[in-house]
Amino acid sequence: MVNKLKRLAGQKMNSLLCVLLLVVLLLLPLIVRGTYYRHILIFTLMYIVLAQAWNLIGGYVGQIALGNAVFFALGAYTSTLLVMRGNVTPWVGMWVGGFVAAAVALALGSLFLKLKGHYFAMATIAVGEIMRLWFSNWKFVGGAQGFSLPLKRSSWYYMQWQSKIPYYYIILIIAVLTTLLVRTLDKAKYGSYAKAVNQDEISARSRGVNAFRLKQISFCLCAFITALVGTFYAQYILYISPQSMLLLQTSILVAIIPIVGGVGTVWGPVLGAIFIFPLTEFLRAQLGGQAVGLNYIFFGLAVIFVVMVEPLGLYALLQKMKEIITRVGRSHASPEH
Amino acid sequence: MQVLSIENLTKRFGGLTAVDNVSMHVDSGKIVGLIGPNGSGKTTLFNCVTSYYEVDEGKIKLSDKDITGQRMEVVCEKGVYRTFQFPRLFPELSILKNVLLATKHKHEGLIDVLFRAFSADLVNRAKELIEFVELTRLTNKPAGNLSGGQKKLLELACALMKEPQIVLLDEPAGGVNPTLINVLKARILEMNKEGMTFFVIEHNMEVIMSIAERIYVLDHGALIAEGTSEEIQVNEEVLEAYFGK
Repeated sequence: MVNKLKRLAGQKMNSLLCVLLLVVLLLLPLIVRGTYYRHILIFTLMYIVLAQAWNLIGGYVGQIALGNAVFFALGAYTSTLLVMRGNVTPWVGMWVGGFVAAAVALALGSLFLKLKGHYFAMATIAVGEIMRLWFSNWKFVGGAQGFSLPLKRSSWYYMQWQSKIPYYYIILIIAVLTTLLVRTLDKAKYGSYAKAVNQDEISARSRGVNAFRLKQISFCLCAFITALVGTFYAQYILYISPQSMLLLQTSILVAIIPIVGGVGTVWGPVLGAIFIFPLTEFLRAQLGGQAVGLNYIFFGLAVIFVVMVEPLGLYALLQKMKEIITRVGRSHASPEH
Repeated sequence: MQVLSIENLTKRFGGLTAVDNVSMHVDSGKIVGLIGPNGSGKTTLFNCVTSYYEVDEGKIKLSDKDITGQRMEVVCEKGVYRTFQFPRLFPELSILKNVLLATKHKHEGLIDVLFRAFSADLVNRAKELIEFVELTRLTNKPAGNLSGGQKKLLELACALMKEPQIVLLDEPAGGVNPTLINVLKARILEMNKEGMTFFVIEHNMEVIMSIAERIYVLDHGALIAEGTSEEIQVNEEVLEAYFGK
């Protein structure tokens, strides 16, 4: 009974914290006024979504994908081609891009999802590189030069604004919905099955879990969500090219974020993105001009430091801190003290 | 009625024949033992039945239906549940989740898997089974915290959750203390009384002789004897396989 009450109190506290966080996020662009800082906020939210998507395939079922830039680019190219060639609004193009990416993930998954560990990682890297070379030489998609999206001033139809605030709220909505989706999946059977497949695939299969289907579902969901962000990115930056969309760096960054934050958890990618993206921007601003690659060295050192302090990520670190605070609070409340 | 029948099964690894033209069957509601010295092909045979290994020759039938070469998860869903010599549980998941994972997956749709949690009925059934194997106080603890013997008990609970046609137990008493061995034996016999069929690999002769109604003996991949425990204990070929000439 006491445990039940404690759990209920804990749940209420968590809900309250979530509401508070949401209020802060809603008010943030009104407090943060500089364009550059708003840009950092938008990109942080964007990486939260990309990391949540990667978390489904890399964190939950444990297939280390290093080619998510492919889906990011498919989303961006699909919606951009639709708007440029057919005047189709990006709001529709976004969904079409998502389905195209999911279909490609299904096809790639049928070929590669039986590979494990670094073999799967290498296969996904190869797909990314092949696509970058292919798109660089394919005139239909603008070749190496890519596309500059036609400027439409502020327009809901074309998903373009001069202010950064609408972009902020759009990506905030996508980030909140994606996090809610991952939370729902985590609580559903999917969460248990995926974690089981990740821990011991043979054992999961010998209990009747269809591991391959689960991986395919995860890969398709990951591709779909990543492609939605691809469209958002294209509409926000208004320029896409193989060199900006199909970077291995992007694929690696979306994997590093949940690894630093906590793989296979709902909040890991959120914490990871809040830590990693502003850090990369800060290091670029401070060190980028001093020596080539110095910011990357410091970024690498920071990531190694976090992973060494807590291999399970920032989320596990927070949990430990929470436990210590609770224990200290309890010992202060006990009559002996 | 034969639940499991193995017909002329052969499994080779390069030049080594691990299972050599073996035929055996397990009748419904019985406990059948499989013994033999180390390396005689017992676990390989289980691995072939559950499709962990591809069969080179022969057929495996479950209730007269051919299941040879079907995917591991399909074989399990059709009714063959196995445990491992070294328990393969999910150490980071709770004991409750470990049992729930062994639920029947056959009729689960996509929406069901993605958006629905385990039903209250399933959770209650899993809790009953955890109680049955005397692990109730550890229900929400990670399975990685359990001792070797407790892990074997948990595997039994998982097997019951699946409600299979046959349970293949690979050395259930291996590395388990005598007190827990008695609990294990009692639970296996209790489940058997309720109609569950078992095919058991075991090195602990006392255990296998006391629970199995019929025993098969393998040596160097070949079937050398079959019979009741009394017959096996005096079989010359079996004694030779274990103790030498």
